[in-house]
Amino acid sequence: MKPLANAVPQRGIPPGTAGVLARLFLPAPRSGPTTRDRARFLALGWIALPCLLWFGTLNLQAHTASTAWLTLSVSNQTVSGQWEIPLRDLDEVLGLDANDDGQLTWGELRARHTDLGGYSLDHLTLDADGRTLSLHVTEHRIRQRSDGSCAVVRFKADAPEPVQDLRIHYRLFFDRDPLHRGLVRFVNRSTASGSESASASVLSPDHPTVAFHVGKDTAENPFALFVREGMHHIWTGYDHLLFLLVLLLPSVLLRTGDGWRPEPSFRRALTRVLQIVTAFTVAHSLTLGLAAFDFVRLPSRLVESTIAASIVFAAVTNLWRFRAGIRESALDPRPLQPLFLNERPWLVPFVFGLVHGFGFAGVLAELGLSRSALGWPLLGFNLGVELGQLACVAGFLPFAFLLRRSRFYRFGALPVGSTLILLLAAGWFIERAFDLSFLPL
Amino acid sequence: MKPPLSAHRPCPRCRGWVFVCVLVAILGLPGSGVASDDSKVPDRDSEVVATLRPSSRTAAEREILTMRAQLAKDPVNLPLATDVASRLIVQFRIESDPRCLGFAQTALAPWWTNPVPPIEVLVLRATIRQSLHDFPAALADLDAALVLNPRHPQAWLTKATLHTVRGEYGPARRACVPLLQLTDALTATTAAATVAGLTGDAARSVELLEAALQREMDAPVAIRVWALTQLAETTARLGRSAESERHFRTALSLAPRDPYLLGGYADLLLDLGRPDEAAALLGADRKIDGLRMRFAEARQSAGHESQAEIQDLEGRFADALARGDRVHLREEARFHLRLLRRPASALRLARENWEVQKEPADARLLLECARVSNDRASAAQVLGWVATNRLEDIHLQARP
Repeated sequence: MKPLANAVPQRGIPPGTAGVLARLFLPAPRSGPTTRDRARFLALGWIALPCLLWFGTLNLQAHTASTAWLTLSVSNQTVSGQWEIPLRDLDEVLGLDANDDGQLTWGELRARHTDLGGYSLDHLTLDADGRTLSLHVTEHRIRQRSDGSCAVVRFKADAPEPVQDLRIHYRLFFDRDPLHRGLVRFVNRSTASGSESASASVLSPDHPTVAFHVGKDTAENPFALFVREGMHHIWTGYDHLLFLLVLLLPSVLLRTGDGWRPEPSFRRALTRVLQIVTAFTVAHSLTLGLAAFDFVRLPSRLVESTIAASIVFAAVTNLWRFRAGIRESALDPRPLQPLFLNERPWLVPFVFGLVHGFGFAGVLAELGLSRSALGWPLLGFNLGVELGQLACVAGFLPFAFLLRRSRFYRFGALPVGSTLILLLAAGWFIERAFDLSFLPL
Repeated sequence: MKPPLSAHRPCPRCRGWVFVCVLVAILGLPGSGVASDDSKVPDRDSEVVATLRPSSRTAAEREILTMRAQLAKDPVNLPLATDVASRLIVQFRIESDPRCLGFAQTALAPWWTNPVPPIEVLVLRATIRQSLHDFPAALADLDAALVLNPRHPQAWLTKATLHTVRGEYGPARRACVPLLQLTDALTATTAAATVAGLTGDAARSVELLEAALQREMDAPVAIRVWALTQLAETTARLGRSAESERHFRTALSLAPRDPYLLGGYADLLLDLGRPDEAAALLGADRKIDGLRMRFAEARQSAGHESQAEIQDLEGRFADALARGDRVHLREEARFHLRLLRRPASALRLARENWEVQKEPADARLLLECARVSNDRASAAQVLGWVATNRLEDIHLQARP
C-alpha cells in the first residue's frame, strides 16, 4: 500500500472551510507546514492514517487475542499436562498448511506432529522441586474452542521423587506476539478423598513464571483448605491477633486495690485466658455465621473501623488499669478502675468479638462460595481461625506466666506494649474510617 | 503488610473484583480438566480440522509476511520496522484480529521499552496502546512525540481522536487546530467537525462535512469513508435517519467490509426497528465479536432463535475475561443488557466502561442500563454529562 500519487493533500484549507472552522475553533497557527513534515507525513501518515483515524471508537475486536490453555496435574512422581494451542498460531510458525489453501486437514497436521510437539514443549519448562523435568508427548488431538480450533498436545514427565513444588516457565509465542497469554490451570487431585481443587494463573511476557505447591498427599480436601484459610487469615490479619493480645496481656496479673499484682495461681490465669478466648470465639462465630448466610450485612468500612476501634478500647482499658495501679495507694478506697473486669474478663472480648466476626465474613465472602454449599467451608474456616488463635495463646501464656512477676512485664510489656498497639490501632482506625492510606503496616 | 481490609479501598477493590472474576472464569471453564473434555482424534486424514483463513491470502497479507521475514533477519532496521508495524495496524483495522497488534509490537520490539524511542515508533506505539484501550499510556506517547516534533500531523490527529473517545472535548478541540495547517482539507475538517458535532454544533458539523466531501472529490478513499462515517453518525444522533442511512450506504459502497461501518449501520437499522435488514447486512461475518453480537440481537428482535449464538458469544467473553482483557467492556455490557438480560451485571460493566471511554454509545449504554436497573444516580450522571457538553443525541434525552 504505497502513498497514492493523487492523494497528495492540498496545502492549506479552502477559504470557506477555514472561515467556518475558525469560528468553531481557535485561530489557526500562521506558518505553513515544511516540506520535511509533509514528506514524513506521507511516508508514515498515509499508510497508517486510515487505521489510526477513528480507531478508539472501534471496539469491534475479532475474537480474543492468541490464547493457549495449559492444564497440569500431579500424581505422586508423575506430572501430566494438556496444552491446547490455537492452530492458527502454530500454522504461522510451523507452516502446517502444506498446500497453503487455508484449510488444514488432519492429514496435513498429522504429518507435522513431531515438529508441533517439539516446538511447543521447547517453549515450556517444568521444574519439580528445583529439577527441570524432561517432557515427552503422549498424544496429539484436536479440539474446537469458541475461538477456533486448537491442537491438543498431551504430555507427561516423571520426577525422581514425589513432586512437592512445581514451577512453570512459559515462553510460547511471546517472542512473536506479546499479547499471547498462557492460561495455566493446575489441578490437584487427592487420591485419598477423591476430591479435586484447582488453581489458575495467567502467564504473559511480563509474568512468564508461576509456581504451584502440591503438598503432601498430592492434595487437600476443601475442608482442610478452608481450615488453612482460616489459620492464614488469623495470622496475617494482625488486627484480630492484636486485639486478643491486648486482652491477654493483663490476664496473668490481678488488679487489686493497690495496683497490678502477679496472679499466684496458674489455673486461675488459664481459666481467665480460656474465658477470654472462648468469649471471643463464640461471639465471632455467631456473627460470622449470620453474615455468611446473609442474614445480616454491615458495610465493610464500618466493620473494619470498629475492629480498629476495639483494639484502641482494649488497649486504653489496660493503660487505665495500669495507671490506676501505680497511682493509687492502698489507703485510697475508691475503685477508679473497672474491677469487674477481673471477675468478668469475657465481657469485652464477647462484645467486640461480634464485630470481628463480620470482618471474618468479609474474608470468607472473598473466597467466593455459593450460599448453598457454605456449611463445611464455614465450619472449616472457623475451625482454622480457632486453631490459629489457640496456637498463639499456647505460645503466649507460659512465657507471660513466667515473666509476670518481673518489672519488665509489669512496667514494660504491659504499658509500653499496650501504648504501641494503641497508637497503631488508632492509625488503622483513621485510615479505615476516612479511607486514607499512610501506615506502612 | 497491612491487615487485609476486606473491601473498602477504591483501587484494590476493582482489582480484587477483576481477580475474582478471572479466577471464577478460569476455574469455571467447561471441560478444562485433562480427563473430561471434548477433544478428539479425527477418523480420516481428509477431515478439515481448522479453517485458518476465510480465503486465500490477499496481496497485502502476502507482502506483510515477506516483510516480516525480512525484518526477522534485520530487526533493528527502523524504516522497515515502522513500515511493517503500520501495515499490521492497517491489517488490524480490516480484520479486527488483535494478533496483528501483537505482531506490530514485535516489529517495534527493539525500541518498544525505550522511554523515548524514535518519533515514528512513539506514534505507532501510541496507536497500538490505544487499540488495547491503554489510553493514558497512549496519550503520554503522543505528548512525547509532539515534544520531539510539534508539527507531526499523525500525532495531533491521534491525540484528537483519543481525547474525543475519552470525552475530553476541550483538549480534542485544541488538538484539531494544528491539523488545519498540517493536513489536507478533508482530514482537518472531519476531525474538527467531529468534535463540533459532539459539543452542541451538530447541525453545523453536518453542513461542514457535506460541503467538504463535495469539494474534496479527489481525497483518498479512506479519508472519504471516515468523513462519511462521521456524517452518518452525527445525522443519526440528530434523528435524521434517512440521511444517516444514505451516508452509511455511500460509505459502505466505498468500503464494503469495514467492520466499524457495518456495526454502525446495523445499530441504526436496529434502532429503526428493521432487524431483518440488520441481520442480512451482518450475516456474512462471523468472525468479529461486536458484529456477531449485533447479529444475535437482530435475530432476537426479529423473533428468531438465537440461543446458540448467545451461548457462543458468552464463551468468547468468558475467554477474554480469563485472559484479563478489558477491551470489550462496551460490547459485554450491551450483551448483558440486551441478550442475557442481566441488568445488574450490565450496569456494573457499563459503569466500568464509562470510566474508560465516553463516546455517545457509552453514554447511551450506561443510561439504558441505569434506567433498567432504576439507578437514578447513574442516569443523572450521564444526563448531566450530556448537558455539560451540549451533546445532541435523540437517545440521550431526559425522560419527560
